Amino acid sequence: MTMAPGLRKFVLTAHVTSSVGWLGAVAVFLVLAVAAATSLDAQLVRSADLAMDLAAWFVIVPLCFASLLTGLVSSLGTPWGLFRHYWILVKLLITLFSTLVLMVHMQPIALLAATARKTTATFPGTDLHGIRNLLVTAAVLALLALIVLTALSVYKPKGITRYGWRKQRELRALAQP
Amino acid sequence: MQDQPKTGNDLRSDRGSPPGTPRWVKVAGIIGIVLVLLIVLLHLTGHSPGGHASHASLTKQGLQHS
Repeated sequence: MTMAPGLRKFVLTAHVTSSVGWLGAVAVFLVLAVAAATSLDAQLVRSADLAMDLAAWFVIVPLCFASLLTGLVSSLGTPWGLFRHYWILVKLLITLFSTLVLMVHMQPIALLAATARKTTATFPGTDLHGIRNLLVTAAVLALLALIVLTALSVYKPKGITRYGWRKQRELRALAQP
Repeated sequence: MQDQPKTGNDLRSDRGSPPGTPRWVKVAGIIGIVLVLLIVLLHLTGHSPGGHASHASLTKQGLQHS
């Protein structure tokens, strides 16, 4: 089913906004994760742990799912299709994998925030330093993945799949009298 | 941003056999597999939030704060 041009532009705008917003939110998360992993200021570490939790639940996760959903609608509702061009297929795989990795990391993010809320006098969760370092690594990888997604959307490297090739042949056959 | 797919470049092999996989897809695939294996390896050795060591740490912390 192909969408009307107006609706197609609207969905594309929503997709670009959510995808770029996701990238920006992860960049902010990375700054907070680095601050939490490296700072010796207990108050700053506690604040960063709490801010990471809020940013992850209320910005990163919603933008991630919005990007995935609008991407699916945008590709399925246009002649691009979801499985016809390699660059769209690669984008889908990266987005699905990034979503999975994000959801896996929500538990340690919530744990850091819970520790920060309950600890007031001492340095918050020094034994959680390993988890903070892992969040830095995860944020760096996520940022790289999102930059690759953005580049794929802009460059649209050539290459159609076997399915896309078959579909194009079918369309040509239908178009010919 | 390009609104519609191009038809000329991708259709070079339209009348013959199906097109082969582009080189960039193969390179991206290899990088992707290496990264996934690396993440799985980190997970199995307990160096990830879902890994064994971290699970122990998360459980311990959960018990302390519940």
